[in-house]
Amino acid sequence: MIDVTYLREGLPTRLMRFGLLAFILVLLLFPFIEMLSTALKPRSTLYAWPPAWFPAVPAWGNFLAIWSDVPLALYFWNSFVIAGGATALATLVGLPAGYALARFRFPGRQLFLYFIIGTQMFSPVVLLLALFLMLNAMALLNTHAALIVVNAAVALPFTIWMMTAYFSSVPVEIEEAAILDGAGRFRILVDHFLPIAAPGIATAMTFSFVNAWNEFLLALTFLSDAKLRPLTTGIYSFVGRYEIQWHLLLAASLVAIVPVFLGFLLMQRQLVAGLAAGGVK
Amino acid sequence: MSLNDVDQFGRFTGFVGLGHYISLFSDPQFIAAGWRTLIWTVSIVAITTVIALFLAVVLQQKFRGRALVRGLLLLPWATGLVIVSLLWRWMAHPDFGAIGHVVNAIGFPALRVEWLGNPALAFPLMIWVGIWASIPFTTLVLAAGIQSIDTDLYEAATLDGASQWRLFRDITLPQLRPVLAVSILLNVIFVFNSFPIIWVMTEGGPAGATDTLITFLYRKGFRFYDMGAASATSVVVFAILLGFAILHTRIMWRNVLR
Repeated sequence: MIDVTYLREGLPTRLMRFGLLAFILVLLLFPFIEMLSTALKPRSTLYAWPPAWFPAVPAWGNFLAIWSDVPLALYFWNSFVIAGGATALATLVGLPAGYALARFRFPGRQLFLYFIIGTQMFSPVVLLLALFLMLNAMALLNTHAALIVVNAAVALPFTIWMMTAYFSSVPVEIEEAAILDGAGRFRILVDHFLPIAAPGIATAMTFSFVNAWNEFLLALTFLSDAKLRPLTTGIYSFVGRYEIQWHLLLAASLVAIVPVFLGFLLMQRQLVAGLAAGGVK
Repeated sequence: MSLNDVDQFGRFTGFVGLGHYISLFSDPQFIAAGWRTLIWTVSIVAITTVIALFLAVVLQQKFRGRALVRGLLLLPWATGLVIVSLLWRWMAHPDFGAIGHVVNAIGFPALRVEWLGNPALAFPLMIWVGIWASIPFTTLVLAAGIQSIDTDLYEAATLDGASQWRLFRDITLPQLRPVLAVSILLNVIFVFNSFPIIWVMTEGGPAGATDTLITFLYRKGFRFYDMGAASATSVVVFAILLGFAILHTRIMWRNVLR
């Protein structure tokens, strides 16, 4: 942490810097003000010129209507299942993979790495058709399992990278001492590697969860059953063929952002620490 | 698949050799989409990196409300890209959108136009949305990088009487180089592959005038069921990504594996 002072810095420079900061913040946050304002407008004032910056009488009812107009609670649950499942799977696979890459020298290690990286390169769009045919052949279309597996696969390269970075930093001596004490590989992993890698694991899990939570294209392509939809495609039901119900769409979107945003706030310190100690060094 | 004719059900109907590639590279829309992808990727990544670097440096200093600013900065990231794109599409609404409202309020009523119907306005707007959405992640990575710089370096330089700007230029920037490389590379991959912003806001239109290679590919494959053109585009995209992949190993995994 730098708390080097402003001693050598004049007031104008400081003002300029914080002015610029404020300007960027306004640019970044204005859309959210607009989002909230639209979400609180009654249908009747949605299409008015000039629009109100903020509705005079906020239509709080919009935030109730979204729960009954579409099965929003169900979409929430589906998102939790998919994002939670994908995160758990990616972590379970990523931990031993990271350990192996950090510790073992095995033939094909380099090739394995290229393979992992290769998968990270691809936009889901490029793979969509192939994935669709594969899932169809395995009768996994229209299941949450399909989305859990594919989202986990998308999250894996980053998870493995993070784990490898952390595990490489554990001194080999600790491991040797543990082996002399008769501990198995699994014990060593649990006792010595997991505690050290905790911030890295937390960071990787947050990334996996957020990406799966916000994923849209895969859910749109692989789930046609309305009851299985996660929030992202579920909210899309407010986009009608002829008209978009902007006030409800944005109200539901705001509700969908809340858990992720709260998670971010809670994890923020961990995220920065995890990134700092892990790979980005 | 890119070397054969394929019908819309994925059945092979005949070998055409490089035919798909020849027609692809003589398609002006494909060439234009390629150039546009370059502009898209370079401008978003460059501007994002500059803004995020500024934010990361400022946020490293203590001031009142820093925690709040840090938290709020994460908002665009917590919002999924589809919601982000829908939100901006609403703000760009020609008659009732917030963009029209703002330009009108600050004295440019002439700009209250159909932003998304005009590629000369739509594409820059979407580039801004891309920047807007990329800033939180980039700032976080760079902040992490700055945090792991040895504080002693700054203290020593401050004692020597270095100015804030000198501290940034002579310590922060060189020490941050590997982190900058990682963040730029990751952003290049994300932005190059980015699909929702353009698809939700304009679907690459009007008439393909805001297409990147990715939306071009999606429309060929999933709208026109032109599997030949789609898979040939996939292969081209794959070749470009392979180039990124090689850079990726060089930059990201070099420090992790010895």
